[in-house]
Amino acid sequence: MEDPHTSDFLVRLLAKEMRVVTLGGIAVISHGLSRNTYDADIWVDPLHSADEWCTRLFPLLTSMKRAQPVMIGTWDSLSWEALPSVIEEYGVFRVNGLERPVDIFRKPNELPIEEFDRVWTMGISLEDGTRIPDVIDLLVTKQDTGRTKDTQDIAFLEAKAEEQYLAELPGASAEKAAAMLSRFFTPKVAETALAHPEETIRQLGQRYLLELAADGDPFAAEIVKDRHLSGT
Amino acid sequence: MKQYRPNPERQKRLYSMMKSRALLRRWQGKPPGNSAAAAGRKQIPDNSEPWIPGGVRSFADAIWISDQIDKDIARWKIPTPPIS
Repeated sequence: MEDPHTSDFLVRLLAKEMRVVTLGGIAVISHGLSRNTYDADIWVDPLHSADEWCTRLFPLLTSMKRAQPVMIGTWDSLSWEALPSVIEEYGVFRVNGLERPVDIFRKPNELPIEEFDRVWTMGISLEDGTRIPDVIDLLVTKQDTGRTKDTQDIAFLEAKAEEQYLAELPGASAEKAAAMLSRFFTPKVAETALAHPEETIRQLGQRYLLELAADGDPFAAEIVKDRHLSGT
Repeated sequence: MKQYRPNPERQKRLYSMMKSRALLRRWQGKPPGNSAAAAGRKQIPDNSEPWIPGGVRSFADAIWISDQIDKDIARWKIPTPPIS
């Protein structure tokens, strides 16, 4: 018989009723990095308000008898009744009592609530009804966290996104290439844009290389120097 | 929508490490790049295998991979030497 006191049970329960996007270590593992994770992070459809969100979540979470909400960071126990105000202020809480903690986000790091629909639409569907964010949205959640443990994830995700871009950018239409570059670029990607058939994309590649170099990126500075690029 | 670009401080560290590795290889008399390839031999192919063929299909799969890695870390970690 299935163990109902697991994070997997909780996530599938939620995914039957609401849209669930996995984040953090679980999403990075789903993208292909071999690593372990202590907890599981999920972004549940933020709906229109914290009250509405909690009202939808309550019956699902309270049906799991061992699930216990706690505050992120202080790990103080919370009553279910206190959740709406905590969610309004912090955008996240933790569920303890299962085989591993599950952090349930209404508002994750660096991804605004308003972008949930886009992240969901661009996400990758899994067989259990959940989705993982595309590689760039996941990268954005790791941006500027200042956490050392995110370094490995960033290196993996950057390399994966860069590989996709280097394959797709040269053959992309001007419109698609501009849209791609508006989301992500590295010095190598910007250098690749310099060879794009469309002048606007070549200019964009040059502008981004110059910006990176001006920000102190030594890889970009080397390309700028080797190619004698200038902003004038 | 937020644009992602590499962090300049991290890029500086990576650049510094890349240059250090290249310098060390030069001091050691090694060619740039892969030694086998530089000597005209075949580079050893990637011998890693995915945890799950075809990749992760569900939240449970990702949890399973994490648990397997936890078990492997516990199995293979070097025991802490006794404090004398």
